[in-house]
Amino acid sequence: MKIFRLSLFNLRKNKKEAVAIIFLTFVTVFLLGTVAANIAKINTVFDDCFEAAGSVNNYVFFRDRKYREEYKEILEKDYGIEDVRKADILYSIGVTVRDKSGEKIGYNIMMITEEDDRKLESFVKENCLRDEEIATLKHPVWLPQYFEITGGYNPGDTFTLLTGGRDYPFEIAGFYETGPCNETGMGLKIVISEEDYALLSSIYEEDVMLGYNADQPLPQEEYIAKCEKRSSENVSNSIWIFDQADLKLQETVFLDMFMYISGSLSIITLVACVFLIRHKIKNDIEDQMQQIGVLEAIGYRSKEISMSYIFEYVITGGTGAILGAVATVLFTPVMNMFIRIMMNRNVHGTVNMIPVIVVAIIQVVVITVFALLRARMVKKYPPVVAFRKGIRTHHFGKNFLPLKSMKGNINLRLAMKTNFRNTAQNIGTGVCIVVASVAMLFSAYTMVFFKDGYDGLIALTGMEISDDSITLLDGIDAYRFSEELSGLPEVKKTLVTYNFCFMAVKGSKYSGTAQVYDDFNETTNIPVYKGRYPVHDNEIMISLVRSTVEGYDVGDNIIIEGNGTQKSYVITGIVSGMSNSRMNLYFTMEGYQRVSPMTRPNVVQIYLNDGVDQNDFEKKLASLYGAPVSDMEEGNIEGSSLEERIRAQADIAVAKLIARYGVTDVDYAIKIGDQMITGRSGSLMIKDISSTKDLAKSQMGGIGNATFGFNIMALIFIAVVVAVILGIIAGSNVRRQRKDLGVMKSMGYSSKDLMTQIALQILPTTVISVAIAAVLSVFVQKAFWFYLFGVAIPLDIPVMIVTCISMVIFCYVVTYFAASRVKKISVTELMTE
Amino acid sequence: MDQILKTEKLCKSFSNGGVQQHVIKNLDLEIMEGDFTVIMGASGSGKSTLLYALSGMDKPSMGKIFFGNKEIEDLTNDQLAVFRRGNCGFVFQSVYLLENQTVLDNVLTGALIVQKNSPELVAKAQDLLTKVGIGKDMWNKYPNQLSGGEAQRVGIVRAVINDPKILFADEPTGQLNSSAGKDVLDIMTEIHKNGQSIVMVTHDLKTALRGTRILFLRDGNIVGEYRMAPYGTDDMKERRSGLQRFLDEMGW
Repeated sequence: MKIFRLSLFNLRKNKKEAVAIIFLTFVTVFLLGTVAANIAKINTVFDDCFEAAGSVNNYVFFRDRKYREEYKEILEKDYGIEDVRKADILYSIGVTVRDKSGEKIGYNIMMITEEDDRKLESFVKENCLRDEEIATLKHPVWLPQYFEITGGYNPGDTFTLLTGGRDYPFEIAGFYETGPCNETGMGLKIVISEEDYALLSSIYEEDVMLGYNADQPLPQEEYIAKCEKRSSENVSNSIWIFDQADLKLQETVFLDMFMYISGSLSIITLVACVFLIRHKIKNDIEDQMQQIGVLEAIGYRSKEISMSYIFEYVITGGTGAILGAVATVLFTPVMNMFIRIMMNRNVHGTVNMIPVIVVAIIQVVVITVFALLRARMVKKYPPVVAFRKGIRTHHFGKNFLPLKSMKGNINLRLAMKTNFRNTAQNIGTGVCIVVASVAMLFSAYTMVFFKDGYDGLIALTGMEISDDSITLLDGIDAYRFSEELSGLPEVKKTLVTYNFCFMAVKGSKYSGTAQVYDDFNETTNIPVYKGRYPVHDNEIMISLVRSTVEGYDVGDNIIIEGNGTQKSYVITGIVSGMSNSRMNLYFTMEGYQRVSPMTRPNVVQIYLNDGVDQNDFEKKLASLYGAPVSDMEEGNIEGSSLEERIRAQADIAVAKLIARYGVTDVDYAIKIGDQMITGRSGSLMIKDISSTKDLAKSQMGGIGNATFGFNIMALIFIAVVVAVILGIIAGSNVRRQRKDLGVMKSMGYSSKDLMTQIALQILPTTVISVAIAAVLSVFVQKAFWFYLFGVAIPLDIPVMIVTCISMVIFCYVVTYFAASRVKKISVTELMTE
Repeated sequence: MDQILKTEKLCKSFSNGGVQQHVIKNLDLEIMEGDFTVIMGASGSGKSTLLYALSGMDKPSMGKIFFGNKEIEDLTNDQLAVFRRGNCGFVFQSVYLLENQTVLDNVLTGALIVQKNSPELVAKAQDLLTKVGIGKDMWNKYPNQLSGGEAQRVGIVRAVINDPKILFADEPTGQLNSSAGKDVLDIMTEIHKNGQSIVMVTHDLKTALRGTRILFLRDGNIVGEYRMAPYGTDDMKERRSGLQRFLDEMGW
């Protein structure tokens, strides 16, 4: 009990340090507890949503009208899967939607009827209009929760699809809970009426989604091979197989990133906390040496005296841990909201207390153990030694930097002398600064990378992101069209490529999306991580993730399968990219045609000059090359004269033939009275216009901004922790050295001189630690981005230099001001001591 | 002799548990250049408090202090520190050498805040140390390797290295044995002979004998003053008895 009172006395004496340790333990438990409690919740939320929505857990998606009934039979007969459901879906990549503020944004959209959706899930309605209100809607649409949570739409709002500058407005009946298709990567599934579906099926491609429940994922390669064998058709380019686990991984990756960063920050605070406790116990023991001697002299055992220090930290650490645990619980609604926003899904439930309690206990145990180890040093001081302030023998230490050979500032020299004597403290401080600096550098790299929101993420996609992407009608020469477009004053450059398609890789369970260009040197967003661009038809580049996961390297051969054939390619380069499941394949035009000889490039990507309005440009395209047939089919007749109206009507009819029946050439002649109006389909060239940039914005904008914001918070947090650490170190150094500081004051050293000395004392440690951190940060950065996203963020040397310099200056300034308690030291106090 | 330090109505009070304790009360004092002033008085009479106030280590509660023509009582702490550099030297009862610095570095630490490093400065420090009996073999020793007397001699060298206008000493022999104390006093006497003004607080008669002017402090004010010839220039017996008489009159 007496020892306990001694601990309380010490606590009262050093309130600021006690508060700092409580703060650090609080933060550690709060962060680690939040991570521990919510990592599990993230998993649960996703699975709960699947369950609540009644969604099946396995999906096979057939695109490009490649579905055959035999494929369903294979699932049922060969794999024994019962109850395979088939749903028709209209799917389009990069559908432009006008958001609530009127701005255009691109989404991958799946359109389905309620009847078909109920085949795959229970169609659980959430926030919606009343039934009688819904009944009055002309074009009702049910949106997945993404549009409610991130899009900010409300029931009754208008949801507008745009194609080629034309609006297709729907009225939002409400929102529904869905398992898959509630994220922008794969696409957002919207439920529309039978009538609208029939109408839009002439615009968008109709695909098939098979869904079923199974415990095991489908063996993709084997299934595709069976399908191709049965139909003698190439399927691998047009099939997409995924299950609940795949989707969960995709949806939770960014949340996991935030959790990992939070966890890392908590480790920083834990390391800082442990170091501070060790530092403070050592200083306290040295400071209270004579009191220790007195206590020992009157019969206290060193063990009991050690316990007084340990109790002190059990009290502070325990208080911090309890506060941290309570804060974690109180923070639950905020975390629920954060997870809801990040996942666009309903989040229910309270915090799981078990991991929080475990974290709090671990924290207290760690503190106690380290305090115990440090407090044992009391043993080294029997009473007589303690009376002599720990001096056992005379000091024969080396005199570092003797003043007689001094050049320059006396404050600097004295600071360096003190620094060289405090090796143990330097190591401890150094470890804290290294850890904090690594985190700060990581946050700074990431923050700067994402400073423009989604631009940072776009740079990581490893694919071309053009302003407009024009899909041409069959038979249109993409090169000729591209050449014509290049001549327009608004156009900066054009690239010819293929529409999105999958390619199978022999021996791999991961198919890849083909990125095909004539000359990769013309591309702007496909940086080579290693090697070089492919030039010849037998050359290819692969993604960094495929290289790592499957062990391919530059110079290796890789076999690509397609159209019943296999072709070998030499890998010339590796590209860092996180798009398309991080498994892109990069072909030259000739190289791609080796494995897909019947296809011709059908997409022209357009990069506009700065300041060109995209909408105006699309209208200009329509006037030059005819509106996209996807728009014309809707029957938008414009024109003032009879002939113009007839031509417009004729064009619509031709567009329908082209879009629905694969007709390539149409000539027409219409006689009205004596007048003959003739025309041909050659005037129609564009199948569809989409904006990859808008699509990227919708997919990545939120994450980019969130990452930027999160890293700003992380930077502030680290700065606070570093300030607390240095504040305590400086404060406790002032207390420990107060006699010397007082003597120096009597000699005429001002408080500013002494504060400068104390700040300069940690400068060498700071500089060395920050330099070490700079090197480590390169590896941490590389490892983090690769293992989480499969990409390599380029090393930003200027950011590194600026951050390192800022860190050193920050540490100096914080220590300088933290040392201001030196002002309170008076020489008088020394004399009356 | 010129006046070097002067106080007007100097007051110093402390607050203890809300109770004001007036330690120095309206004290007027002049210190003349070249004097060896000794302040004596009973415990609690305010000797040390007066010394701190005079030397600019502590601020008075009221009144004025003129150091030469400069009024110092309104200076900030940092301004006082800068003021002390060139004007004041200190010798403490507990010596207070910087424990982690060698003997020579202790002296130079005091010097280098005022002067630029130069071979002459180092030579001066070494010369002074040699004069007080701290030989070359001890210059690189640390304070805990020195005896109390040796440490105090180093303290004196550190105090005078900048040629201060006044050397303040607070019971400089208080923690020394008689032999070491005598050595220290001999050094201070020698310094005084060379023209150094000294203000010293003591309650020891032997120590006070070294002074030329004795001030007796009681209840925060100077109640008596006694003048003596410089030490060693008069009869020692008479000097002692004269001072003893003065102190007896003061009720010491």
